[in-house]
Amino acid sequence: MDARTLKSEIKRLIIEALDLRGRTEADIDDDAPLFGDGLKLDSLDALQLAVALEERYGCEVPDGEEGRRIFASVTAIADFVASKRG
Amino acid sequence: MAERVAITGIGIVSALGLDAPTTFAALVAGKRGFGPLSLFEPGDARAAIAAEVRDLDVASVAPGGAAEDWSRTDAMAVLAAREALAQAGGAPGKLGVCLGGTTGGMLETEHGLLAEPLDHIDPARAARLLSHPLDLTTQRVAEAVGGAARSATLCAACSSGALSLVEGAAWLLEGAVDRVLAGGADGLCRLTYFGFDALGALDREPCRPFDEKRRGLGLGEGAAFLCLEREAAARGRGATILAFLSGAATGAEAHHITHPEPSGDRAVELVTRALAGAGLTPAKLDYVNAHGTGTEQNDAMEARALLRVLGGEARRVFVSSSKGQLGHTLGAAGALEAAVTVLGLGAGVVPPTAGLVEAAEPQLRHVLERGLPAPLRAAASCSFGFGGTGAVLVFEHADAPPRAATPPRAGSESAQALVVTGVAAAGPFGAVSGEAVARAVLDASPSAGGALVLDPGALLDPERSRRFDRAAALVTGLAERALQEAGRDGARTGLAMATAFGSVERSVRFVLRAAERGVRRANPAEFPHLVASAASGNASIYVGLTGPAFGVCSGFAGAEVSLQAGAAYLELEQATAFVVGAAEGFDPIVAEVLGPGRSASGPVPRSEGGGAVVLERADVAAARGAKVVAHWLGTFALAPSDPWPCAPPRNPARTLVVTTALTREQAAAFALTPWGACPRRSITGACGQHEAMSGVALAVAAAALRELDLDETLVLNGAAGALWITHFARPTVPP
Repeated sequence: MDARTLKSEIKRLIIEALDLRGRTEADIDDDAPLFGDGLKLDSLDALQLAVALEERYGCEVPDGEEGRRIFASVTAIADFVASKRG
Repeated sequence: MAERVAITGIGIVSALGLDAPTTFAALVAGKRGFGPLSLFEPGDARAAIAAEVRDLDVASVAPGGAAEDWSRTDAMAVLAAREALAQAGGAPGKLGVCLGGTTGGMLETEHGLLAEPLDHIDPARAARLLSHPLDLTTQRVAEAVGGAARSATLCAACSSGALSLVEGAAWLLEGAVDRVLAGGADGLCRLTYFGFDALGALDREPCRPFDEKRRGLGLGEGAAFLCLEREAAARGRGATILAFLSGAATGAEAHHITHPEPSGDRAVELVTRALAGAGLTPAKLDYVNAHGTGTEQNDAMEARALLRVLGGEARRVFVSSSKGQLGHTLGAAGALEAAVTVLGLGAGVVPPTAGLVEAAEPQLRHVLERGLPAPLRAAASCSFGFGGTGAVLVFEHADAPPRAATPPRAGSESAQALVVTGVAAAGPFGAVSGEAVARAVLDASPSAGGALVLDPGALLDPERSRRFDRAAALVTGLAERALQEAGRDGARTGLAMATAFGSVERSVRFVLRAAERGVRRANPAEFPHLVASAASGNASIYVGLTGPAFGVCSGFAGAEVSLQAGAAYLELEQATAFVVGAAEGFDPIVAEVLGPGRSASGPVPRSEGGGAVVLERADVAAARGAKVVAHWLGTFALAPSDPWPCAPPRNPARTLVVTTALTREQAAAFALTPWGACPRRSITGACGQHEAMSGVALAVAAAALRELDLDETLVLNGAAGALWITHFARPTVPP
């Protein structure tokens, strides 16, 4: 899967898993922050997204600073998923 | 509080013992109640320990043969209630029972759910999912102590038990009852265990409140009841007074469903207000039994708040958390820890914080390992919970000198006059507010039910309400609209809204998913929305309510019990206005189990909706020039032998009696009362069948006064065993 397809899939996963009603892929910028600013997601969303990513891609998102880095943006999540899938 | 309340009995069931003396002795000795989780399989949960109540024999508590239908929560609650009442001694007189809790018989419900293959849920199994509503425990306590003249069941997450004591105290000061058994009870269950685990909130080791290495909660279970009486009554009968409940402050942060607001501002305000209510300053306070859960977020916030509020006294005032020994008992914690605080005051011993070795906040005066003898004059017990709910109770030693006489209140001696300043209702007839409510409901054609006309999500901003279930959306939408009508914001505004069942389908899905696919696949964001206080917590955050916000569970009489609760909290000056009523969201499992309702004209399809009214102190409404919709003259539960409680109508032609689910017998009996000849309208057809119909009826009856140009209205609600009557009068008609 190329990076663009993966990012698009992750965006759909975010919208679906976090029940972001009324949002579309186009509303989520690849490099915009997901938490705090940008999409304004909170720590509950982070937990929920970690469960959803693990379920979809089988990769466990670590806690703490590393987890925060992975959740920085859609691009960062896609890089993480791609690296885990080798 | 205008008058302090005497505590004359205490009952405790905990991981450290099946009665209060055993529990307290173990607490003082520094024993810890944690052990391997045995009530259910932890599966792949991160944690696997809990403070379980051991040697609980449900069969020895339940009446002969009934044990199978009893939950552990029922049995713990009944044991604690009996102990408290026995210690209080004497004839209980008119007794009130007020219980706080979060999950009731969920464990037993889960056993039923998981006993067979998980492929589908047949009707018989589904029926068992509804067999342990929260208020069933309250009913069992009432039956076990010989009946209750008044009862209520409330849920404010982890402050439920404390809020129950506040409501009980208000009932006494209102003069509604002679004595109150107030407390909390919560048994361990998968829903809360897996839910907190999914949030990453559980410590794998016994929890370590206020310690540098604190890693999270340790869940526990238990029950506690306190017997409350007016001081004069307790002294009059020569009862032994254990301590006084002298001050109470309750409120909400309106911040986030799981995170405490980090500054601790609200906690500071609650402690300050509770002390002021008791006529005390930090200099007179000797001990704080902290909420102290062992999570970084709670403990850091609470320590910061206590340091701020205690100021220079922080070096002197003892602080400890009982959760390192009893575990976090959720809905029971507020009552259990209040009971521990009272026992500490009486014994002159400060219970320790077990698990605390190296304090993260050494500026507080912690007590380590075991109890510390010290004379205690006054002590506070703190509770904070999901949704930002909080309660601080201040207790004084039994020998505390009588309070200087407080000046009598302006106006009548009795409770403050309360008025309705805003109304809203929702149902198949749409979402309506203000005076339009009366006609919108009374002129609506009978509901087709089933496919719902109403989209609860459309009432709210979709982004801010994306995690709400239908009940939370209804409660929030009604509260927002009723407050808009009242022209009030959420400051010093409380909320007591009833929901009978909560999110049955979502809870079932959560537990099944955790059981089938593992706790680590459970949805962490779902859990905070499954407890019975989720709707009130969400509404509080969404609307910005800073008064106490809680859910009420009382079957078909939820709206009336909520109204009484709001009035009680206003009596204790915990807020200046309260949103009260009921809302029920459509739930497919509830609909399948209960099916359509019945009325004189045939079956009524199951539906959803509800109603809310803003109950406000008359002086506050007058001071801000609010338009008064109705005077509230009282809400009464009438047993068949009780005398008719309302004055005859001044002019029957200018009245309306709004009814829901009146039985033939009740209708016949009502016809013989002074109100029997008044015009009567049922709203069941317009609402469809659900437990919050009387919430709609309250809104209709209040709105009808102006809209239909009437002098007085009644709501008659016959669906809850007793006949519930609520009486409103037009503002221009003197009561």
